[in-house]
Amino acid sequence: MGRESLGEFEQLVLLAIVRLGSDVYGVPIVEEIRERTGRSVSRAAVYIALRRLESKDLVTSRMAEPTPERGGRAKRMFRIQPAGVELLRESRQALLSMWQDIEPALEEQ
Amino acid sequence: MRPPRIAAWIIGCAIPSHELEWILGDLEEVYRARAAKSGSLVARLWYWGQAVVFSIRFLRERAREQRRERSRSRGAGRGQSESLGGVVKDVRFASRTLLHAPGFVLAGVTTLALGIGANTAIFSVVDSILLSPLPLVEPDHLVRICETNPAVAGFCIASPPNVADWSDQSRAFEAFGIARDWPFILKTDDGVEGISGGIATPGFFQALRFSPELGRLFAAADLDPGNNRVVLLTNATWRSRFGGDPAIIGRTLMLDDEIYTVIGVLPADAQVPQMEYFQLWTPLHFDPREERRRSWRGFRALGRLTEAATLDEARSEMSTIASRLASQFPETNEGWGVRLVPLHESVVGSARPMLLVFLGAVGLVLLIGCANIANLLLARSTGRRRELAVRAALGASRTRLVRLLLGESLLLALLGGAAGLLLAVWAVKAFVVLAPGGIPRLDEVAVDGRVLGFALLVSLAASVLFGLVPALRATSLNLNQELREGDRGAGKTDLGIRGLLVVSEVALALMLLVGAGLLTQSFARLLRWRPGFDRDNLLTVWLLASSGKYETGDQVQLQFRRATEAVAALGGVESVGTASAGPLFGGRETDEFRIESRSEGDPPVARWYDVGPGYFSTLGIPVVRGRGFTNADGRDAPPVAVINESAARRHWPGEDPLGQQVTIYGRTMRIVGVVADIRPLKAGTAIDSEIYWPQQQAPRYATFLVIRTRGDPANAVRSVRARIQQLDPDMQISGFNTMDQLMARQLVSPRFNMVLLAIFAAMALVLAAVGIYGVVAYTVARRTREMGIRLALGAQRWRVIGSVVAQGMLPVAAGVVLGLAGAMGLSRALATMIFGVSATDVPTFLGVAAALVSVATIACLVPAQRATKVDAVVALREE
Repeated sequence: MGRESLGEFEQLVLLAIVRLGSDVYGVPIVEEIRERTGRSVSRAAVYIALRRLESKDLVTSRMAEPTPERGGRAKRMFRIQPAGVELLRESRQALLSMWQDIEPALEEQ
Repeated sequence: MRPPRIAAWIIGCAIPSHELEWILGDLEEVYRARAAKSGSLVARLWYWGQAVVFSIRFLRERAREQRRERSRSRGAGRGQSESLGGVVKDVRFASRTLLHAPGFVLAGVTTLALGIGANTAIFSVVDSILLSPLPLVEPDHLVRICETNPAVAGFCIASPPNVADWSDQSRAFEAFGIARDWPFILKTDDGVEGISGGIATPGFFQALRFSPELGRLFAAADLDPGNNRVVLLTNATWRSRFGGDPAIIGRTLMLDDEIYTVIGVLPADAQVPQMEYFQLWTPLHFDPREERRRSWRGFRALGRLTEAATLDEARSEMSTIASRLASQFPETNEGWGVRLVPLHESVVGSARPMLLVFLGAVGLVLLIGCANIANLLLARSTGRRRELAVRAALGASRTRLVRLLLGESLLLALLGGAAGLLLAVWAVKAFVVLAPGGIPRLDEVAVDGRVLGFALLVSLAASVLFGLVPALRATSLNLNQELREGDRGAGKTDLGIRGLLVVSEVALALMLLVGAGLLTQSFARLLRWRPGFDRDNLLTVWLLASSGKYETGDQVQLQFRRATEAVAALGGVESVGTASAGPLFGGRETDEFRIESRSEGDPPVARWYDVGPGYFSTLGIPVVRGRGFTNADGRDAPPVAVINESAARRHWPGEDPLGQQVTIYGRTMRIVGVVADIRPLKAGTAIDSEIYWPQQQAPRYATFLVIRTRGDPANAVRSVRARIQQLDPDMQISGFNTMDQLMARQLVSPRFNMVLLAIFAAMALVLAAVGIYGVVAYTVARRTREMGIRLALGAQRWRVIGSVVAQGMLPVAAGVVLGLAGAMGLSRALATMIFGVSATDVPTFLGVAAALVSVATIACLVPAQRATKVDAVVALREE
């Protein structure tokens, strides 16, 4: 496989970033996934996914101002990159075409 | 409301530092939100859960990355990735292998938990008592200063005028003070009661650098007669008796029928060393420079060194001052030197030998445990030689294999250490509760961070100790041979190492057993105490006359005599005597004495007592020569004395002491009688020379009543108290003790030492027996085939068993010899704890060795016998 492909979990994380706007940090990302999917995702898994996405240049991040309710620690703000958007589109396309006209076949199973 | 620190630290260990800030920030944000919503407990639990999940996930991620890295750079060189990922891998590998051997893990962890637990517990006691500084301001500068003389060997005492002179002349000390106990009678609306108090000079609290919680401490003006009716309360007294009244300063107390004004309260954390239990303090009731007090060496002197002075400088300065005083005041100071003891040493010195013996004992137990685990590991690695050989053949280096095996040891040790720590927390609590009184600083004993560090250190050391040799052994492989031979390849060296382990286990266990045996012997001697008088049905009680009530000592004597007669008239009382002290009760007063018509040589030393007429007959001490005292030996009669047999033998060998004159404590008396010796409780200690004189001839304000009852002496307590109170309501009556109670008190400490050491010795014995069993079982397993052949060829069963036992007992015998030699050397450490038994008592040594040998024989017999029951055919088929 010449290009990187996205795992399902990575897709969820990327989508959450897109949904939340341009600059988002860890806490709302986890919440967004939880609320939308109804799944209890592990926070550690999300952070590891973010790390991988960044190493594949699908997202970038920068450090933001520290706030007191975080014990004076800075946030890390994530933003999706064009490559990420493209990969998301590809994944969607792939899935959609796989799903096309599949209902009758599913019924028979 | 910060998240749990330890959990955050754990996360920090797993996550690379450049990513730590924002992740911890996120977690804290969520933590706070959760805490606000569901309470801090829920939030903490959540955070801890996150700590676990984050560390597992991130460590796994790291390992994965490294694997990827390695597969990418493969060919560019191997073995460079032996960093953290390697360790994680080793630990994971180790935990996997250990999980497959639950029996081994259980045995190992239990052994280690016992060993490390005992060590940690005793260490935390030793640490708190011996190692950590006293809870005082700059305690290293505090020094006890003792006047020394052969007559008071072992005591640390000083007289007020001498200390005042030291204070004037010394430059090494910035403050000097003296203090001593001074029982008071406190009169309140509820009646009178005895209260333990102390008298001290202002310098005493200056040296301690106490600052008052309320009011002030003593000042120089408080020593002026007329102005000295002031009292300092300890914090505990202030709280318990006065409800922590903030307006306590200026209130008055009735002490000894005098009005005292409260001037201050000591701070809550102020422990006056060695006088912690005093409830209140008053200033010295006389001028410490009064010349006539120079021979009253009844005080504890304390000094604080200046910042610049060293102990050695202070020592040489003080000895110069002492010799100057000796020539200046030859009457009182001739022959008196001075000794400086750091306060810490003075407080804990007495407990040191005992605690060090315990520490040594648990150290031995742990060593035996380690030997056992090494044995287990050897057995395991023999079974795994083939696996290791395969690994080596596939390219694992020897370092790598050793690391794998050490990883297992480490994991085992850490598990054992954690379990041991739990045991230790419990054991320390038990120790504090069960330990006899008289161990200093017991209330400070606790498991803290240092103890935690110690447990970790011991665990690490143990893992290397028991893991290294087996690991090195297991990895020194001859590949070719191993792969071909498999399990049978285990060489002779293994047996050699096992033998050595047994030798050391047996030797160590034997040393502990000898120690426990000696303490037991000594304790048995204490129980068999035959003092030379009738111990049954004796009751003692301490009477202290209120000094405000009687003008002269003679009046007090009269009152004591009335009390004696009144108590003697009670039903159930056979006879009554009085004494300043006696066997197991009262203090110890020792002095030099002079024998008339002899002046040469150093003056001899004797203990002295003043006793009433009924004392010898009540106790049942036989008068061997001459006479005892009667009521006729009064104030105006010629001064007389009675000595004990030891004094007669020692100082008048081949002479008749009767009619001789002795001078002691400023009194010159004619000897009129000799009484039998009272044999000391601690057998083997020398019997002191003793001089008795009649109480009526030197009246004091206090005395013991010694009461011989017809039935159980405890039943007489009520009627005796009531009768004395009836005669004088202000008389302080305390310290009712039967001779049995006094005896029981003496036994507490030796019993504790004995039981504790016996527990350690029992642990050692069991561990050693298990170790021997393990080795023999292993040998038997290897020889099953051979034994099968021998049995099949018609060998007698008992011959086969005999050969196995003989083989197993060889290292035991060597261990016994080594252990006896070691015990010879080590048992001297017990010298201060055993009485009436020599530290090299032959019967004890032999008995203990015999006991150990029989246990070892059983440990050999069991596996040997089992092996010979195997069907020969099965044994032959066995590969």
